[in-house]
Amino acid sequence: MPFSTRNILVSTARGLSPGQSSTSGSYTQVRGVRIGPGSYLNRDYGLVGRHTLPRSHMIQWFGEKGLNGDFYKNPYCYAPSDHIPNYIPHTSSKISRDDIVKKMADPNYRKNVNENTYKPFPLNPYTKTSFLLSEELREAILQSCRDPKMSLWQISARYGIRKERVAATVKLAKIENQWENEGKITPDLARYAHRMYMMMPITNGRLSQNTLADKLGEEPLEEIVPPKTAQRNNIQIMHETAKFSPEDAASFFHAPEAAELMDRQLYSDMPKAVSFQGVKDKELVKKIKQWKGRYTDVVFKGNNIWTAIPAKVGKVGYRYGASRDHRKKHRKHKDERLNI
Amino acid sequence: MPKKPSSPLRSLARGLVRASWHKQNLYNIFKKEAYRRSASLYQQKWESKRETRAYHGEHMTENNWLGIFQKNLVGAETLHDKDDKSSEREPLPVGLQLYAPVERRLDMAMFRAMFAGSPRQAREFISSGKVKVNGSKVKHGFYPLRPGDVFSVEPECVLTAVGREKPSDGLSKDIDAKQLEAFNKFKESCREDPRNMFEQKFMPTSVDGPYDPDRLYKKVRAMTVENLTNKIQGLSLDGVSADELTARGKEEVEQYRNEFQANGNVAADDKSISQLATQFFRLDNSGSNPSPEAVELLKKIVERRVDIQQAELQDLVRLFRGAATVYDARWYYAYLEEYCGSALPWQDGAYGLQDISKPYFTPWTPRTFLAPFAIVPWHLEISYKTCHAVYLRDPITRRGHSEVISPLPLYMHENAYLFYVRDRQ
Repeated sequence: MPFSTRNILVSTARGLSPGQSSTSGSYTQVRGVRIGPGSYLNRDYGLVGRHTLPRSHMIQWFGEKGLNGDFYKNPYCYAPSDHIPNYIPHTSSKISRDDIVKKMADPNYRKNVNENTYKPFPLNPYTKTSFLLSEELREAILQSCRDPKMSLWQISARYGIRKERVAATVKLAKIENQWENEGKITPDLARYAHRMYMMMPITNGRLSQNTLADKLGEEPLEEIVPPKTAQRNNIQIMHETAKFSPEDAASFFHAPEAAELMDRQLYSDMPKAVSFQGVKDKELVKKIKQWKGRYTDVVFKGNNIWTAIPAKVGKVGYRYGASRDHRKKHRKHKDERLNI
Repeated sequence: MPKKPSSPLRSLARGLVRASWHKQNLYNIFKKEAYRRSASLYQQKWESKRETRAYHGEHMTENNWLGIFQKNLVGAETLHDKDDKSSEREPLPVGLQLYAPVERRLDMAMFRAMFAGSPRQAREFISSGKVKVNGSKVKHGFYPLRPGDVFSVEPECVLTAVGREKPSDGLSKDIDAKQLEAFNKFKESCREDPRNMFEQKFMPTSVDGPYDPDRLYKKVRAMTVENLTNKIQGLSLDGVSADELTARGKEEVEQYRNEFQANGNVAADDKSISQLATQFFRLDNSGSNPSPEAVELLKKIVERRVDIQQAELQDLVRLFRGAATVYDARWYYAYLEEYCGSALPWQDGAYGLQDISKPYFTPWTPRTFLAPFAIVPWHLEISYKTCHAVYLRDPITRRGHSEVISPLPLYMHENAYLFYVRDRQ
């Protein structure tokens, strides 16, 4: 094999940073360089010519191996147990592995918790981790189901957790109790559950608002998710004289009727105390107090007061432009049917 | 016949990110950068499709994916968002909803609940009959979950997936031999120099470097009244932001300054000393105050009543570091053969083979490189004690947040959507 003296580009990348070219480095004179077909063996100077260059960079990224084969110096090797995640950090500039190792050696690193701590992937800021319910919160939810028995909606509003999640927690707690009684939870399984609980971030919801996790863990309860049936093209062909009632609409969308929703516990359990400090018209206040608690809650929005009142279908609103009212005398219209 | 991967799952040259806990996949995620190649629109769409499909539903064939692909991507709004018309609203990342139908599959849900290391491993568990949905066995990975479904996996499978690999007999022996060699060296050095080894073991290294008693001694000697007063004088409110210093903190600093100017002396308050001590020793235990003994010792130093010696310095450091043990020349006897036998004290049996009947490393320990993938999903409620999980609802998108977990940027998903919408037309 022919050898010669050449000026060779030696890779100085110890721990390749994202975006760093694998051909970066400095030129140095090296003797005994292979030329010709065996020249592929020249590429690795850090490691004996067994690996390709990308693989040798990866091996440098993992770092030293310990006695049992663990890459113990790599900051991502071991699972944390302080409820603070150990994700790849969000940084605007290109950061190398050595910088991360230095950052993680700082004892204050894991205390500077901000929103980015809970984002696992640096390229996608929209993916965030959720939070496990802490033992206290879970116990509080289960206690609320026993005595005094609160409804699902009440528990959800009190602790800031979605009602589906509350229902699921209760379901899973029943299964856990059953397994404990039957002795199915082995020591290894208990160990696994404990380690996973300590590794994941936890929240206390609305029980306490001390940490950032508690605030981020409070879920949005007022979301409107359009049902799948409403996402389709909704064109139904019917006869000219056929009537289309709210019940027909409900069956078409496979959704519960509005009247059914109104009767549900949500509205009867909502707080009935409404303050009337902002309202100046006392007569109006009297009327609202008659309606309050019987239908829906009263909402103050801007300068107006909104509430739902009973009304008959067909008698709500006014059909302008009907054939009977196209003359001049009908242009000024005053609606007296609602008696507000 | 299950689909074989079209390209190597962990290729370094391609650098595709996969739904897997493998450490090489973690390296690919770390290495990946967001770039926009100056290519034609079709080339960009093709590359986005390649990258996103490599993560989302890689184990599905393309026809299977097109069968569940939905053209309508929907986001969720809250009642307040509707009225808020400010330009500072966070964007709604609807593009990330493209691969939401994949999350309904049982194998993907198992991967998200951290019951399996990848959807392919989850599919293996499912096809071997270890998974139940609402109490009945399900043997197909494509089973679409509905809101409210409870799925469960046999605990042995989960412990194998999440735990370390069980070592072979030969490997276990090799590791035990290495550990024994290192342990014997440690015992020898303890016999030769117990004091030094005690300090190495119980005085952990600081940010500045390894424990250096000379340097710390100089620091404490320099902690005379003059230097302390200089420090207090040097406390200026200009460099400190208003959020950091509360109104009360500002009052305290001004009080010190006034006292010094009046008396030429420092008021040795317990609180002030503990504050200065944290600066000097860079204590980690925020929230917990130093012990009363430590505070008293520092008080004496401040008032020039104690000329601190080397041994006292070590006591001081120990007090502030919170080490529980006091030095005893026979501290290492617990490790010696004559007291604990020839076995390794932290291990019961061979390395990883405490219980040979189990298919995983015993005593159970989590696998390495698990932490970067430990994400709690929003659309599942998990019970780790029983290996059960509830599918709450399909993952949705809201302002500034998407419940679909993806390591790839939003624009890639949007381009992939454009690719598939065109295909469907």
